[in-house]
Amino acid sequence: MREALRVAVLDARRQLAEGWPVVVDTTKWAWTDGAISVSGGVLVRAQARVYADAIGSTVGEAPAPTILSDLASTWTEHRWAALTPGDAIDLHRQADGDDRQTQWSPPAHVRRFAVQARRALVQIPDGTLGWVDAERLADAAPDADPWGDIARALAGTAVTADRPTGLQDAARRARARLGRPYLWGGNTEHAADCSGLVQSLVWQASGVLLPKHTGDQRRLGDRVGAGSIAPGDLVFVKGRNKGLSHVGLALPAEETTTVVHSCLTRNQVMEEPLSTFLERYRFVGARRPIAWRDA
Amino acid sequence: MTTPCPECTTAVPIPADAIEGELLVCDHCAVELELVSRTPLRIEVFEEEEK
Repeated sequence: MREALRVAVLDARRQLAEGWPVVVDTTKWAWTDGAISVSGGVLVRAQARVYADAIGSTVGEAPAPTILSDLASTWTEHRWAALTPGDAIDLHRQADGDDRQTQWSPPAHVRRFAVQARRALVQIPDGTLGWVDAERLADAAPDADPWGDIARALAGTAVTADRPTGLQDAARRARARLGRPYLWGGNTEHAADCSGLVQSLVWQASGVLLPKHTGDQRRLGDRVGAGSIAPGDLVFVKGRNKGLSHVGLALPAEETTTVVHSCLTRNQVMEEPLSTFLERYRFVGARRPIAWRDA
Repeated sequence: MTTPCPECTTAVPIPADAIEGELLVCDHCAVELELVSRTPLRIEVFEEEEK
């Protein structure tokens, strides 16, 4: 059993190699000894490590995780639903909690897996799984895969943006958001967290979708050394003190490259020179997921 | 320059311009690795700090 679980976790981790979360039925992983407390969530890397740790110490008779869906699958057990018009929906980690992990805005189709009380477990186009207000969903029966035409960032290569002025558009959109508040899990024009801001700007300006979470964004595109960062690159850092992961988008400016980011401690979207950004934080990597045509 | 992945032992290439603290990904097992030291060369499995 222990070996089977180890293999299952490694398989899941390999599926995560391209940076996209897969949907895993974590409701089967309910240890009661305090080692694991997830239920029905995305198998993000942190959770994969939790599983791996638990496998090393607490196995019991827990079943192997069942991978229900990945973004490339033709898995048919889900039902398509359409987001009803209105504000962005919040995706929560738990069916009965307020722990927002991300947002998504209509119009869009989502994959609906289950309904519990007043919430539904859905997967949104960026791959994130979470619980949403079930009243915001309408039954849908699309003729074709609603996500089939979505361009996604890939690991190990930069996806060419089909828009000739995408980078300039990203800069314009970013500067229009300066001063807007930080929102944990947010990714709208009104408020966003760091990875949500980057995801939203890149999606709007390039038409290429990034995953929501920083740890997933960190695996996409080509690696860029600290001395080779160019406008359009994603710049990953950690705090000097607390060590939390953070990400910003490098932008073209008149005399230097800048970075726009949604800053938790200053509670706002801000732009600063790349050199200043790298002085204030500790550099952990840069990636080039998009080949901008106007770079 | 390469060094074995601490997770799966596959050789992980270390870019010449990689700096200490930079995160790399093992192409084989996909685990994230932190370049802890260039001299001597040392990488460790990266553990994300919970927010």
